[in-house]
Order: sequence, then structure tokens, then C-alpha cells
Amino acid sequence: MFTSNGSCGPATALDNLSKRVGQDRTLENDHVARFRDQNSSQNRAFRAESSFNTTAGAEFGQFQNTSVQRNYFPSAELIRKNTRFGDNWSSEFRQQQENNKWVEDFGAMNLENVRMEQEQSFQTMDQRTNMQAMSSTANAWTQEFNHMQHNKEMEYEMRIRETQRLVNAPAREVFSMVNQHSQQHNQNFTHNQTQLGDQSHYMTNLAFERQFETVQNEIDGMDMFSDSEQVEQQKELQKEDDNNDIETTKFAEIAQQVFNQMNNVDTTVSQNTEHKFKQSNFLRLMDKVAQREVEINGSGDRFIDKTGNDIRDYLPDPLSDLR
Amino acid sequence: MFKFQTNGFSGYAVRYSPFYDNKIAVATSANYGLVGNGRLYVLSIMDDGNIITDISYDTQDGLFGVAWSETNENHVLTSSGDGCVSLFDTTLKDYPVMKFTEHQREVFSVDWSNIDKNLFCSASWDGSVKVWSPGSNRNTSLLTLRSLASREEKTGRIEKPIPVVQPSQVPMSKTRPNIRNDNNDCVYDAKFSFHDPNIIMSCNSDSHLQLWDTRLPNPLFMDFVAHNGLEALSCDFNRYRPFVVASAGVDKLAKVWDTRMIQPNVHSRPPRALNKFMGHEFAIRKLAWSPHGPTQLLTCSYDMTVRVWNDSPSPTSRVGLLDGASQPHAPPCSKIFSAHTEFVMGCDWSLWGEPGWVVTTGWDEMVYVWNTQRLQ
Repeated sequence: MFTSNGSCGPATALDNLSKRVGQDRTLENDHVARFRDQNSSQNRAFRAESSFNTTAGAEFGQFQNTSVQRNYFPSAELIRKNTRFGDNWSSEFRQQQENNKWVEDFGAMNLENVRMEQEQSFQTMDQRTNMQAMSSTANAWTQEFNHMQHNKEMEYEMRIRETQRLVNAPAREVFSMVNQHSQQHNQNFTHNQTQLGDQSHYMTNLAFERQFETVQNEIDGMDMFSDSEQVEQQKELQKEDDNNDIETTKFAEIAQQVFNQMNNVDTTVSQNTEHKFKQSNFLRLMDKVAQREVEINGSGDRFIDKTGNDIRDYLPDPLSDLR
Repeated sequence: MFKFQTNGFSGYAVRYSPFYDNKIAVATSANYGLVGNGRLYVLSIMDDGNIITDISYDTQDGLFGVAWSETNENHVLTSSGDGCVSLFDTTLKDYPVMKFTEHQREVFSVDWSNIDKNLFCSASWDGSVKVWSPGSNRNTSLLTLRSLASREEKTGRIEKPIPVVQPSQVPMSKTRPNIRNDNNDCVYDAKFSFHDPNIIMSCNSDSHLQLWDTRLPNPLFMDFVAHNGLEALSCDFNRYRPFVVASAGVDKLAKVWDTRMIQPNVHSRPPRALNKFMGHEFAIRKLAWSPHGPTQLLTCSYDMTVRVWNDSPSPTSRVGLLDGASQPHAPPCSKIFSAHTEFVMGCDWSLWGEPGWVVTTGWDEMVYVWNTQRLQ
């Protein structure tokens, strides 16, 4: 129900994955249906070719389009960054394009790997080998299936011609041919029984790869923005560091002024007050700040010395002489 | 003399409880209030003289002002460097029960009205005094009094901000709103009158002492330069003389003003003070009139001393003080308390018991409770 094509619910990656995995695009359908009803016109209709052409092909095209859009369409975030970065947008855009190529390469490599495994299993299938050679990129995947459809159609026409020849042939030849065909069929059936499982696994892998690539592209789209945001954050951090440095310098200058004012009191100040000022911890702190021995830490909530320790750990106890 | 150490936290303000004779609230800040968090101490003076911590609250930013509620004995107000005013209930742990967050910069003082006990006011470096009503369970202010804007509205002219010659404000913590006050009208202190619930007094960094009547369309009804163009840091109403106020500032002077002798308009030239107290060697940070008599004034200063002044009611002695007396008179400074080893930032009189008990706190992380009558 939830995985049906007619579902109006939100299309999530998991739904798409379930649809693709649940869709029977194995060659088993072809063989079983073929031998169940070779002359039926539904044989062609049952073949996943039509569903592939209409559904899988469309979805694959949509996937390609969306992936292209995700990679290259200047979304709201990019426009926002465009206003922020100005002329650097085009270069950033190109860099994002280049950064996203690895995903396509990654997908192609994965498909190629699967096909390489398949190639070992189906050494005898020359057409498949030719298709493997053709489909070196993700875009060639459609061509591969189109080619397969074409081959199947050719094979079907061949079988029709054979059937017509059988109808027109003498009974002995027909018997021998049927006998020969049944032996081949038995051999092919046992061979196909082993191969069908591999092919089903192969198609599942392909569907999974495509879904994986879709998800990967989505993640990559997020990465694209997060990368640019990281650059922006780095710039902001750099700006904050500059501001912090300016503030630290300004604070040191103020501390120097306070220190000078307290340390060089005029003659009207009593000796007692002057002595207190000389002993003042605040005056010492101002001296250290002025000498840049003590600074405000990055989070701005404490004074730290050169070793990064909180200076309050070293303040003397005012009650030490009273205890 | 009793003492208590606020380990690692420099005292900024201290207040006696109006309900208990042995409870004290102390607003403190780490790293002298320059960076770091704050801590509110609620202390109790025990019978043996020890001072213990009833409860303490850590805050995100340094605390600069404190005031007890006049309606609930467990409620304490604090003002902090991030522009926030918090109301704590001492029966509850960890967090304030209300927060008032309209100020744009450091809030340096809070004061609870003694008459209309549902109101308190706060003074901030954003150039405004705000009146709040926590009793009505609203955390937005009732009224905002803007120092410079009100003066410009009253005089009808746009005033140039007084340029700051010295970097008067050390950068505070990073959690504060990063807004500069180029008008140089940071309000340091604001107090409700003890005699009229509608009258508020404030003093600010451009040396102005301002009186506000909250009933008026333009509440500013008196504004004058009180401290020779230098920053006015503290002000207080006399509890016994309704028209007498005092102010203190960076000019090292504590001045007594009779508001009846000052014309109720904006002055370009400073009016004459009723009395001046000279003696502090550095700026006076805080002053408080005694609750037990009309003449005693307590001041604490950046010269690390606390002084008790006697404002003689005799006009001749005041004239003598101002213009050089030919006849002998009592010295205005009666007592000097010099136990603090750093700047003394907060002081308050005890309302209870034997007159003369005061509490002081400073950047030496000490709270001293002492009696002005017994001080030698």
C-alpha cells in the first residue's frame, strides 16, 4: 500500500528504495512467462521492459534531473551566499561543481564493480559484455537497458520465426527439433535456475546502488551547502578573532592607563592609601593585563595566564593574616 | 566588626534586609566585574558574630546591584552586566522566579519603592531608568525614563554628547549586549523618594542629577549638573528631610542638595549645593543617608575607605564649611573605616537595633559589618 506507485504520500528515500526492490525486474519473469505462454501477447507486456521504460526510466531520468538540479541549481542558500560573497560566487559555484563530480564517479565505479562481478558470472553472454563495455558511466545505464530490450525483442522475433518454421516443418524434423529443444531447455533451465538467483541479486544490487547514489547525492547536496557554510563560519571566526585581538589590545591599553593612574598617585593622596594601592591585587592584575601576561579567554568569561589557567586560582586569601 | 569572605567574587553592592535585622544580600562579580559570572549571597549574622551563607545564586554575568523586596521578606532583586534584572526567592534554589530583560546594557542599580511597594526601578548604562511592577506579575516595564531624550525634549535643543576624554568604562563581560552608549548618559544610580511614590532621582555619567515625577507627561522636572562635569555615581534621598538629597561622583565630593533651592528647570550652570563633603582621595562610589538620623551620611570610595559624614543642620556651620569658617565647628567627617584593601563598592545602613551598624563590601572579596558609633 505504502509502496504502491499510486500512493499520494510523501516520497521518501526509503519508499523509493522499497519500490525499486519490490519491483520484479528479474529475468526470471521473462523466462517463466516465456515458457508459460510463449505466444501470448501479454508476454511482452509482462516483461519489465514496459515498466522499466515508463517507471524506472522516468524515475531514473528524474533522478538524473534532480541530481543535476541539486548540484547546479542556485538555490536560496546559494543566492544568499551570492549576495554575501559577491563576485566570488561563480568561482565558488564551479568549485562546488567540481566537488560534486566525485559522486558521479563514485556511482559509476560502483556500477562498474557490480558489472565486473556480473561479468565473471556471465562470461558466455557476449551481449552483456558488450553492454558492460558501453555502460561506463551512470548515464549509460539507460542505454544498457535499452540495448537489453532491443536484444530481447530480437530474440523474441527469432523465436517467432522458429515457431513458424516448426509449424511448416515435417513431423520427424519437428520431433527431433522439439526433442533437441527440450534437451536444451532442460539444460538451460538448470543453468537458468542457478543464474536467475544471481541475476535477481544483480538487479537488487543495481537498484540499491541507484538508491544509494540518490541518497549520496542528497547528502552531497547538503555537504555542498555545509562546505560553503564552513567557509563562511571560518571567515566569521577569523573576523571574531580579529575583533578579539583588537579588544584585547584596547583592554591592555586601558589597563595600562589604570595602572599608571593608580601607581603614580599625586602628593595629595595619603601614604596609607598609596600603600594600599601598591598592595592592590587589582593593580597587579591591571599590570599583568597591560603586559599581556593575562588575557581574557576566548569565551570571554575568565582571565587566563599564559599557561591558560584561570588566574583566580592564584589569588591570595584576604583572611590569611587574620586566621 | 564582623567579616565574611566572598571567595573569588568581588563585592559590588550590599543591602540590609528590611524584614530581618541579621540578613544581608550581597551582589558580587568574578574578576572585579570585568569578565565572568556573578553570585548573589544571602547572609545571616549569627548571635556569635559569625556570618554564614543562607543561600547563594550563581548568575551568568556579574552582579552590580541588589535590593530587597518591600513586600516579601524572601525576595531579592539583582541587576547584572547582561542588562538583566532578576528576582530571586530565597526559599527556592538555583534560579530566579522572574527576569526583567528590557535594558540594553549593564544595569547598575535597582531600588524598591518604600511607599508604593509594588514598584521598583532600575538604572542602566543604556541611558534609561525603568519602572517595573513585579507584583502585577508582568515582566515588562511600566515606564521608561530616558535621560538625554527627556532633557532634549524639555530644553527643545539637541545636545551634543559630552565626549569621553578617558576610557571611563572598562569593557565588561562578553555576555552583555554589545551596544555602545555614545551619548555618555549612562545612568549609574536611581532611587525612589521616601516621601512621594511618584518621585525618582537618578544620576548619570554626564554629571547630571535628575528628578522625575512619573505623573507628568514629561516626567523630568529637575535636571542639573551636580559634579562639575564629571560622572555622578550615586545619589540618595534623605529619609527625614523630604527635599534634601545627596549625590557623589568622580570629583571626590559628596554633595547635599535642597531641591527647593533649585529652580525646576534644566540648568546650564550648576546650582549651589547645600553642603559639600571633601575628604575622599578618589571617586566616591556609593553613598547612603542614615535611617536613624537626618544628618549622617555614609560614603564608600575608590580610595578604599568608608567615611561617615555629619551634615550639620546649622546654616552657619555649613557656610563655614563651604567658605572657610572663622568659628570652630565639628569636623564633617566623623569616622573613617579603612579595613578594605581594594575599592569599596557598596555600603548600607542597618534599619534595626542599635543605630550605627553598617555593612560594606568591596573588590577585596570582603563583607564587613561594623558600627559607626564604636569606630575609633
